[in-house]
Amino acid sequence: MAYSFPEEVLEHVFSFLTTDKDRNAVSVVCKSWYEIERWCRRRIFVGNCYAVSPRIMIRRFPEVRSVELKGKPHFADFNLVPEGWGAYVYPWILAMSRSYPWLEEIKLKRMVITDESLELISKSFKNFKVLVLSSCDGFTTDGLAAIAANCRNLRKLDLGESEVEDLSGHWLSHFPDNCTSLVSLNIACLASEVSLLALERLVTRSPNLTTLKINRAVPLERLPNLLRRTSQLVKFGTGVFSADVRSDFFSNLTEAFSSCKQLKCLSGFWDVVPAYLPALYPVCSRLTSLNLSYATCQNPDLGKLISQCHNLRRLWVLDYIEDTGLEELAANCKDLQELRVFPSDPFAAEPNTTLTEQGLVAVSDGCPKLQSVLYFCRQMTNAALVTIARNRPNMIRFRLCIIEPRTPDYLTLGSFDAGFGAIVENCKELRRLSLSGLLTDRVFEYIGAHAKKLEMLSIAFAGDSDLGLHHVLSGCDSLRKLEIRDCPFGDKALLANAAKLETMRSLWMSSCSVSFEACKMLAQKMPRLNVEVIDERGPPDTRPESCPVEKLYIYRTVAGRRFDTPGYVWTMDEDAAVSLT
Amino acid sequence: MELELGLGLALPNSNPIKYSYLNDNNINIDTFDDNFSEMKKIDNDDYGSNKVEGKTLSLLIWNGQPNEEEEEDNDDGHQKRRYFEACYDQEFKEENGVVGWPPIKSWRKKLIHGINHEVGWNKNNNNNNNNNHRHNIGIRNSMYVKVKMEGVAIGRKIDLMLYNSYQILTNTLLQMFNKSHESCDENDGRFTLLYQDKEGDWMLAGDVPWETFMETVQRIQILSNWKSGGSTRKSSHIPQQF
Repeated sequence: MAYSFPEEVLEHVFSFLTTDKDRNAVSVVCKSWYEIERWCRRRIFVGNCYAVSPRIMIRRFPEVRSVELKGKPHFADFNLVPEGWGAYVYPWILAMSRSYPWLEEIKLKRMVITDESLELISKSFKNFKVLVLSSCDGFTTDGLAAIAANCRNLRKLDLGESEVEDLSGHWLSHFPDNCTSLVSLNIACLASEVSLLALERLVTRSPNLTTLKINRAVPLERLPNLLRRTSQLVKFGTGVFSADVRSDFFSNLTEAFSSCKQLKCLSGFWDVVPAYLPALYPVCSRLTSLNLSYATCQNPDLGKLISQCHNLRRLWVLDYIEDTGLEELAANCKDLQELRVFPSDPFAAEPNTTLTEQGLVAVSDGCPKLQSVLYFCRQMTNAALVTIARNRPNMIRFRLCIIEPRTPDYLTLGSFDAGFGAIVENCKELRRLSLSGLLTDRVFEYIGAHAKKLEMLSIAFAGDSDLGLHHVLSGCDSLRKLEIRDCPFGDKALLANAAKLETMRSLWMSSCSVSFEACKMLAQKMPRLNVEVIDERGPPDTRPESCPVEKLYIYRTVAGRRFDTPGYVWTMDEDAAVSLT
Repeated sequence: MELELGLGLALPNSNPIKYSYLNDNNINIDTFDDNFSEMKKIDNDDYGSNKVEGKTLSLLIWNGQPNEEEEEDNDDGHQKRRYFEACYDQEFKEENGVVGWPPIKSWRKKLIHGINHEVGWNKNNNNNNNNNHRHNIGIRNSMYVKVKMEGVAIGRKIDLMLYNSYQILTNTLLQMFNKSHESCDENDGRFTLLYQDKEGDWMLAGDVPWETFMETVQRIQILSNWKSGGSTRKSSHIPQQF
């Protein structure tokens, strides 16, 4: 008997529901729960900033404290979204500044944020605490200076992998002169020098700092000094990790790392000089996360370091680790959950390291908790994929990039249909999958049949016909994001599964075979979808209707079409009569 | 049904297709679903077996050719390429491949350039002859370094691969910083060009051959002589930052 509870009691009960899914479920129980829930919702996640408008969000949830927004399509990371596409956060900040005076957190991903927006944030929200900008751009260090100067309660400033225009390294000195409230500071993405003096002064007056990631420009020589002032650090990202090899400095550095008793995560290591890696040995056993993906060192130095990190859960590394290093990893790091291996020279024609399918097989065999993989390599076999799938049915994220498009199994010279088929069949909890190598429509049949929990799928240079796309759209029940490039998927599969698109967050297709005409039809059929054609060659209607559009981005929205599109984006109009000749 | 099936098969390669359903204002989505499920029903065998070419497959591949064949050697491949070329006026190429492939964040890519640049010249790395070789044959064709000018707040980044002598570099830099009317001569110039080498020491540009400079330069700084009072400053006296 819900109505017998006072609102306060229900509010308190709801406060224990932390996931958006649960809150959403509560809000559809009845009208009174909907009302109570919307007034006590404090955190909002918007996976696509064009799927809803700030006005709608504020109208429904008037008391929000934390907002997370995502902007450009994921493929923007790989330069597939042209400059000026959109995802401007200013309208959101402006609306929130008027309605959410108590907003505490803003987290943005792939959005454009100007200095003006940053200033507005710094002045509008009295108790602002957290600013996370992942892969954002459009701002300068001046905007950061405003945040540092005005947000007196700032706890977290994380610039992720944003592109910041560096006007001055002195913005760090704008933080309050007395004690700061900083708990987490990540400025690793800044390209130019920060004022070292300002940085050292800042960490000295930030007693609660547990995360510090500095940028490449901070010399190794300054690390001992920094670490001595921040011995409470849990996560630390170094700057450049090279210096003249001097024994006195080495012991200095070793001592500084040893003094950080809480240290669990390490990253940075740009331009690493292997001779200084042993300075980390004393902390190795504490580490749970190690990002060496900018560390261009090789074996045996690399393997030696990693094999001492017995408690490692996450490792990011370059392919310099090679199969032998991964075998050491498999033998020593039994808690490993996440492995990412990046290519050191992805554009080379020939492999420059001995990293093959064997390294990944070894890790899948030796690390029972492994559930997340991103692996760039140049050769793979179906047999290896089948072994990995059988070894690790607990896999949740599996992204494999065989660098050369349409590479076959080098032993059988056949496609990888069976290999990826084994992955989706064995890994029942798989939520994210990226395909590569030679693939026919058959692999999509397996994916549609087995990958029932798959939420995000990335496809490139694969398939033979519309049937491939149809299998995915009709079979993957949980699919939310689908991104496709250079595949012969076209109108038929898209139109046949038009209704499915409304259940998904977004679909990206570039260099596929979708015609302009089909885009128009889709928009007409599905008024709640925004169908945006991205074509830098000029208006799509100047080419034959059957000519495929360059890029296509489709997403569901309750906000209608957007009005900040650049000249190369055409939103298909749902009302326009499609001329069918 | 048969008609639709035929259309489905013809789709990917026999390009500018006019589907009959495009002429029909009422697209029957359900019919398509039926159509596809019909096609699926035909073959449901175990992919673990080596029967790669089941009935479905031969139906799916428009020309009945097995897939192992290299696309390049395939007539359909040619046809498709020609089609795409006709439609895509511009070929967006990157490095020696396709834009956005392999899928590496542009942010990381920038660093990779830096990484290879440095590994290639790193004497400590014996195993990188490959990289070194690649530099020599010029595949890695850019080399960005930061340039700062004393008294100018905003630094620049330039690609040193675009220059082949100190003279051209100096002139370009002065132009870039709007000082082109002034000279940067070693003796009576008003500016001095310094560079930071691999060891982190600041050196006077021009003292070593251009090629040696290119192998060691990490960043560049331009100093005003009227302020520093001479062009022969020793590296150790120059602060890293103004």
